[in-house]
Amino acid sequence: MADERFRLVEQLYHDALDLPAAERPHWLASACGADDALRREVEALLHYDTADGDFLERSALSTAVAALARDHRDRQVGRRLGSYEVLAFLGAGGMGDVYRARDVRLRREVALKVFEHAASLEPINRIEAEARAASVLNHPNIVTVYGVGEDGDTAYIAMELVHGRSLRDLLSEAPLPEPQALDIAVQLAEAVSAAHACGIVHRDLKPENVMVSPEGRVKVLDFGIATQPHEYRPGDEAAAERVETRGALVGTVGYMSPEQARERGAVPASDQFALAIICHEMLTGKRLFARATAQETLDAIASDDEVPSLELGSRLAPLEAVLARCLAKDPARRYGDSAQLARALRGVKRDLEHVDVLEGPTRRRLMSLGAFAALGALTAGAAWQLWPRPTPRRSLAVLPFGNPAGDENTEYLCDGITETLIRQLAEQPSVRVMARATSFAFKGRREDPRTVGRRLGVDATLSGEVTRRAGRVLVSAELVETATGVRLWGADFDRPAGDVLDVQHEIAGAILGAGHLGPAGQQRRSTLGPTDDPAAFELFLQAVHHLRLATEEDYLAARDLLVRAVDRDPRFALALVTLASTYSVMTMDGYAAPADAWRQADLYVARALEVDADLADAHAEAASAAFFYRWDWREAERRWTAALRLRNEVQSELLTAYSLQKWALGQTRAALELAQAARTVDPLSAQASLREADLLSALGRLEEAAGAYERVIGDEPGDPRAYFGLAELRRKQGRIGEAIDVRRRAHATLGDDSLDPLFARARGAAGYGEIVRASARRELEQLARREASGGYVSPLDFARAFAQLGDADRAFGYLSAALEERAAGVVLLRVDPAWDAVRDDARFTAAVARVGFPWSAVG
Amino acid sequence: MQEPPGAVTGWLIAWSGGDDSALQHLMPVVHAELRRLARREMRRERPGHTLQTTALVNEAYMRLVDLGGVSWNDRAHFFAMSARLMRRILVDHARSRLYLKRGGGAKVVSLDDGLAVANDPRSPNLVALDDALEALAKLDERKSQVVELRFFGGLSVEDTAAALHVSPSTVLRDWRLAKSWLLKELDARGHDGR
Repeated sequence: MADERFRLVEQLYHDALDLPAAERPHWLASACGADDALRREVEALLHYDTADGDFLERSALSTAVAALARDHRDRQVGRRLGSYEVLAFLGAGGMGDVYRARDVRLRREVALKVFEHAASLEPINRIEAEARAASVLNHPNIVTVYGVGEDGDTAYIAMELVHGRSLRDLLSEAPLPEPQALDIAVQLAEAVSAAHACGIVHRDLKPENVMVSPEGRVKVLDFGIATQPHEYRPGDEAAAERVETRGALVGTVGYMSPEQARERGAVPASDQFALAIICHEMLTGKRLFARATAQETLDAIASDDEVPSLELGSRLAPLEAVLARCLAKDPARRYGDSAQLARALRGVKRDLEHVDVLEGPTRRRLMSLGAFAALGALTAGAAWQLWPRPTPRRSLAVLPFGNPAGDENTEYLCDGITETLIRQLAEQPSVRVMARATSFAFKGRREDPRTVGRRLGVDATLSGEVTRRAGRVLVSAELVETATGVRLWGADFDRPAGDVLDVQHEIAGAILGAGHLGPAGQQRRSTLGPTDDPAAFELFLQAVHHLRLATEEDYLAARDLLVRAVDRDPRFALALVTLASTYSVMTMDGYAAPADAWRQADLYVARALEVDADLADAHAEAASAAFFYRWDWREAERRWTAALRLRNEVQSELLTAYSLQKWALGQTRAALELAQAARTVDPLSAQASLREADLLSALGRLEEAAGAYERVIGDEPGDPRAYFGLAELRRKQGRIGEAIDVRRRAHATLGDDSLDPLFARARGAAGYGEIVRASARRELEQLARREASGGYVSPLDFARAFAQLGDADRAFGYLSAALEERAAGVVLLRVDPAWDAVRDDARFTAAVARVGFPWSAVG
Repeated sequence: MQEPPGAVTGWLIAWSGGDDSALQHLMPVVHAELRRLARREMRRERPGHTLQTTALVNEAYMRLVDLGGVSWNDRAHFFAMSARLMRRILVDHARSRLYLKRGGGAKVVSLDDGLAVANDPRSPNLVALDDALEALAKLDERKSQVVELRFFGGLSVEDTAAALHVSPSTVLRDWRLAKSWLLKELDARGHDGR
C-alpha cells in the first residue's frame, strides 16, 4: 500500500473514531464508495482499536527490569545461606526478599529474609541487633526469629514460616466478618501486649505485617525489624508510604501514630494506635486517616482535632470506646498497659458473641446425628447450607368450649371464647390452627379430645368449659396432646362476669408463652412440670424450642438457657439431661469437638441421675455417650433397655436414637421396627419418617422407602433431607432422570442455585455423579470457610466430602483424624453411603475394624 | 566495568553515527544499569508497578549519559538515540534467544547475566514487534518513531512530542493508530499481541 493511501486510511480511521460506533459502518461505506479494499482496511484497523487496552502501554524497560528481578529471585532457589537452603520465593518484604527455605540441620522449613548487598544498604550489625531483639519474643501470635547470618554481602534472618495470608490480602477483598475481625484484633492485642512486656515496640504495625493462618491464628511479623531504610522519592507514591530513617520517622504512613508523625519517637502506645486503625479497617474496609498524599495523611494524623468518628454502629459501641481510647492524640491517654487493652478487647468480643448467638443467621446442619434430629441426610449429599428458619408448625384444633349447664346466656360466651382463641392462635406462625368451620363441626358433641384430635390429624386440641355462677364466670381449659393423651396444659379461671373476655386472652397467652405448642411428649408430673421454679421452666421450654430447630446457633442458645435454668434450680433433672443432650447433639452434628462435648454431657448426665436415678432420658443420654464416644455398644445396649423400661410413654426421639445404634450394628430390621414405633408415637415427626425411609431403603424395600420420603416431602416441603434421600433411592432404582430432578429440588429448597448450570446439562449416571461431586465440593468450600473463620470443623465432615469426591487419600487422611478424636459419625461408617466408593479400600476396612463393632450377619 | 563519565555519550554518538562496534561498549553499561534498577525494583512491595514513570527512565539515561556534554538542541536526538539503543539491545537479545528456543515453551535461558525478557507472558513478542515496526516505518516513519520512543524509550506523550517536534495530540493520534496497525500486523503474521 502506497504512502498516500496510508494517509487516506489514517484520515478515515480518525474520522470514523469521531463518530458514534453505530454510525461508523454506514459512514465508512459511503466515504469509501466503490473502493472495497479501502473500506476493509479501515474496518480492520477499527476492529483492532478496541482490541487490546494494555498493548505496549508498559514500556519495554519496565518489562525488562521486572523480568530481571524475577530472574534473580528464581536463581536464588537452591542457594545455600548458612545452614539454610532456599526453596522458593515468597514475596518482597520491606528491605529484602522473603524466601521459603529449609534448615538442613533441623529438617524444618523456615522463612528467610534475605538482604542483598547488605553492606551497601544497612550495616549488618544493625540487622543482627534487630534480630536479636526480636528473638527474645516467644509468643504464639508473634513470628519467632530463629537466627541471623551473613554470606558474603548477603545477610539473612531466619524466622518461623507462617502458612496463611496477610491481613492486607484478606482485606483487599472485603471487610471481614465481625467475629473474625474481633478474633484477629484480640490476638493482635495479645501479641503487642507480650512484646511490650519485653520492652519491644513494633513501630510499624500494619495489615502487611499481620499474617493469618488457615486456622485463624494471627502471627505478627517484623517485630523489632521495623526500622528499615527505604528510599522515599517525592512523587513516587509506592515508596512514599515508607519513610527514611534519616529522621526518626519510620513506619508506614497510614498507621503511624501522632507522636511518630511528629518525629517524637515511638512508645508502646504507638502500637495501640496502629492496632485501632487496623481494627477499624477490618470492620469497615476503610483506612481511618487516609488522604490523597502521604503528607496529607501525616497531617491528618498529627492534627489537633478530636478522634474521628468511627461509625461502627450502636451495637459495637463498647468496641468503639476501646478503639477511641487507643486513638487518643496524646499517648499518655491511651492504655497505660497493653495487657489492659487486650483484656478490654476480649471482654468486648465475649459480650458481642453472646448477643450474636441469639440473633445470628440460621444454619442448618443436615448431617445431623443427634438424638433430637434424624439421620435422614446420611443419604448422599449433605449440604452445609443456609436455609430459612423452619417454622415449627404444630397443629392445633380449638374445640368449641362446652356449656355444661346448658345455659343459653352462656352459649355466646362459649362461642366467643372459642372463636377469639382460634383467631389469636392462628396469628402465630408457629401454629397451624384448624379452621372455625372444622372446629365447630364438633360443637355440642362430647367426644374425647384425643379422638377428635386423631380424626382431624392435629397435634393437640384445646378444649374447655364455661359456667356462670353468681355474677362470676368460671372457665376451665386444657390442652391435650393427641398422640399421647398427655394434658400439656390446663388452667381454671374464676373471674367477674365482665372480665370474661380477658380470660380468652389469658388462655391464648398462656399457651403460646409457655411454648406448649413446641415439643411433643413432655412428660409432666404436675402442672408446672419437673421443677418448681417457673422461671427455670420457662428457660427450659425456650431451650427445647431452640433445640428443635437444630442449628448451631440454636444449640448454643439452648445451652445458655439451660445453664441458667439449672443455675436457678440445681435439681431440675430434666434440664440437666437436656443440657447433656445439647452437648452430645452439638458434637454429633459436628459443631463441637468430641472430647470436650462428651465430657460435659457425662457431667450433666451424672448430675441428673443423682437427682433422679430413674430418669429415662438420662439413661438414654448415657447410652449415647457409651455408643458414640466410648464405642462400648454393650453398655449402650444396657442403658437403652433401661431407658425404655423406665418410661411409660415412650418418646419418639428415644426410639429413633436407639434405632440408629441398631442400624450401626447391622441389625437393620430391629432398627426399622424402632423407627416405625417412633412414627406411631409421633406421626408428624419428620425425623422418625426419615429414619424409617432410610432403613426401608437399606433393606431393599425401595418403593416403600420412596413412599416414606414422599410423605416427608409432603409434610415438610422445606426440609431438604427427604429430597436427598429420595434422590439416592431413585438412583438405586436406576431412575436417574428422576434422581437428578429430585436433587435439583433439594438444592432449590436450600435456595442454592450455584449448581443450576450443572443440573441443566447433567445426564445419566455420569451426570448424577457430577452433581454429587459438585455438591461435595460446595460442602468443602463451606467447611473451609467455617474453619477459616475459626470455627470447629469435624474432620469427619471433611472426610465424607472427600470420599464423595473420590479423593480417597484425603478422605482417609481426615478419617484417621476423625477416628483419633472419636467423631460421632465413625460408628456409622458401614451404613453411611458417603463411603460407598471406597468400601473396598483396605484403609476403610481398617477404620471399621478400629471401631470394632460386631456386625449382624442376619440384619 | 566503570566507564569514565562522558564515555557513554561518546559511544552513543559514535553508534548513532553508524559505528556498530560502539554497541559492544554500550551493552554492558546498559545491562548494569538495568540490573541496578532491578535491584531497586525488588525492594518494592509490588514489583513492576511503578516503573513506567518517565522520571525513572530519564534517570536511567541520565546516569548513562553525561548530559552536560550534550547540547540542548540535541536533547531530542538524544532521546531518539536512547530509545533506539534500547530497542536494539532488547530485540537483538530476543532474536538470539529465539534461536536457542527451538524446543518451544522452554523456561527462560539467559545468555548473559541479565536480560530475560521474552518469557514474560505480558510482554509482546519483541522480535515480531520489531519486524512489524519496520514494516510500519516504511509506510509512515513518524508513527514508528512514536512507538519506539514510547515503548522502547518509555517516554511520556509530552516528551515524545518534544522529541519529534509535533503536538501532543498528534502523538496521541499516531500512537492510537500505530497500536491498531501493529496489532493487526502481528495477528496477520501469526503472533498475538503477547
